[in-house]
Amino acid sequence: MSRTADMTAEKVLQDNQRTRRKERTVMIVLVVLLAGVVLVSFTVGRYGVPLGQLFEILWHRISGQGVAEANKEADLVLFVIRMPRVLLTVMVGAALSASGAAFQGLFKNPMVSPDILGVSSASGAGAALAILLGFASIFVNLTAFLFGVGAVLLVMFLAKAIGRGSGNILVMVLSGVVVSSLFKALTSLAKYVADADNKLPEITFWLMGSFAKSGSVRNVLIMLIALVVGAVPLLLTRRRMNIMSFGDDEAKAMGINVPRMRTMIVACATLLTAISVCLCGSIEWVGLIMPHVTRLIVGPNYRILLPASMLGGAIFMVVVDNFCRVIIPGELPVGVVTSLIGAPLFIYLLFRGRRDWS
Amino acid sequence: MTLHMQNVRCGYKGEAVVNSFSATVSSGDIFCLLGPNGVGKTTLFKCILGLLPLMAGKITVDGRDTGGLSAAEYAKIIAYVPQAHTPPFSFNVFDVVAMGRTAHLGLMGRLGQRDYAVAADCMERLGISHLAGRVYTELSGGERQMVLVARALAQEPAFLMMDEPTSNLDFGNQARVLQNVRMLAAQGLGIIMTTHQPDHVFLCEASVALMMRDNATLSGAANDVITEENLRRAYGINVAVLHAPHQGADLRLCQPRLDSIAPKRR
Repeated sequence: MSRTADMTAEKVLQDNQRTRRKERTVMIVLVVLLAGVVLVSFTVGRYGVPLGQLFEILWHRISGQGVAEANKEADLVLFVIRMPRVLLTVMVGAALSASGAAFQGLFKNPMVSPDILGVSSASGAGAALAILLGFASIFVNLTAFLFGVGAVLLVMFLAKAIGRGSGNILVMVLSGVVVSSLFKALTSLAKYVADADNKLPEITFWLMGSFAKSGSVRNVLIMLIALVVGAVPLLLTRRRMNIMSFGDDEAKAMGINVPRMRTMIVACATLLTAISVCLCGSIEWVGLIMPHVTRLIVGPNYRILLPASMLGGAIFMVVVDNFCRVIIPGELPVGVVTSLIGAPLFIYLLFRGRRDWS
Repeated sequence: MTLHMQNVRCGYKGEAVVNSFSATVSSGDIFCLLGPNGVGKTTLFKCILGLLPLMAGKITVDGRDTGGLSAAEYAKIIAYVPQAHTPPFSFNVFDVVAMGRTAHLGLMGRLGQRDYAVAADCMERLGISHLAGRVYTELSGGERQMVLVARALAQEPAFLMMDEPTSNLDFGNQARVLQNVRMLAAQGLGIIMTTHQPDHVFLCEASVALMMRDNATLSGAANDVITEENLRRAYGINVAVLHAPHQGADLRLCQPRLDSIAPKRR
């Protein structure tokens, strides 16, 4: 604690402004990057659409000239199949990352994510049961959300009861593993009793996690609503998430209505994951990995971390989905690839980030 | 401003730990909560901070009951300096200090120029501007404690509540923290702190509440409360309270008499 006089308030403020400018640059780079990969993903796939043709079709659409005869097929592929899929991919990537980042701040725990807390498997189980019972799709979404919330509450309760309020990271992760496995068993049960001709394939589809069949205008709209309802409140209050990560007492003493804030975060983060799972199945690791990677680049302040993770998650998801579409003719399930990338990457991050956590 | 605690009773799950505590702290005062482990210092401390509900009695600020205040209104009056700790994420130090501005922002508010200026001023006031660009989790315990003080100052409160601000600090850093406590009081803040060192009460020329196991509390000026007799009653050990002239100052200090403590049976 030596006192050096050469640092003054003025200099501190200048440094702060420089940081702020750097953060803006990072955001711009990420937005440009996202735009780039989105554009590329419009062109790749089994039906190739060269960039020139893509721009031509876009221009014709925008200027209202109608579509040229030679471009009819490409236009169909783009607007009916590819664009909804890519848009959905972007939104799901952003939603899963936002959800993971929010849970990590809320639980003061960089090891949690929607998967580890059991939200993903619970939402999957909820959706499976709802399909089994023949619910309309809006109720499938609702059931998935309610099961997701149930899983978080269960994990919170278990962690508190077992860890006696010590906030132990390991206890919470283990509680999540238990709850997760419970809901996976429920899903298996639903599969077991499901009608093998139509319900079973439908249920099996999410367990894989894929965008192959989910890209429709209707799904894009559902995801958009979920993203607005779930992510906007998180983004607006993201500066307060920093303070939540210092613990309840300090957060309250700094002027935060802790129960209200906590309820809001759990509801929003769960909604984002639950709807993603409903639409595209359980795509694991994204919610854990992307906030981590982003934290390594921009630091832990939610002011920049949350929007940057969302963009990063979207970029990652689009790239992985493109890879899945291109690598083999039959298409890989995207959930398989995120797990293959996520697991080893996480081990690497564990080594790198060790000193940041207790 | 005057913080008035009147017959405060508080505890956990319906069981009172502190029964009837009364004290008054005004701007510019230093008020120490002293007492053996398990006597309810932390409980009382949390209660004054509004983290635990009152079971009876009331706490007023300038005559106004604090019971109905929101967390944000409370935070603008009383700020909390926790013991130096390790948060899960490696925040930038200046960001941590600026977090103190939260109570002054709306629910979705962002930090403005003025907020950053206040945060930077608070760091300068404590002479820790050079830490601004560092990573909070990489600081020493003493540095972290000062950052938490700066964060509390950024709330622009009338009162600071410090939870054992010198715990886990080395000898020099303890003294520096106490020096800053005195400076802040001289600048008009009211300071309430818990401590395990009766010496600190003398060092801060504070008023003190000595809490005892039988739920009695002795309150008053340091010289009146920190006596050999009272310390023996509170801690169950023999203590010498000494006067020592040193370079023109009249120092007072407490030293336990180890030779006269009844040896515990193994």
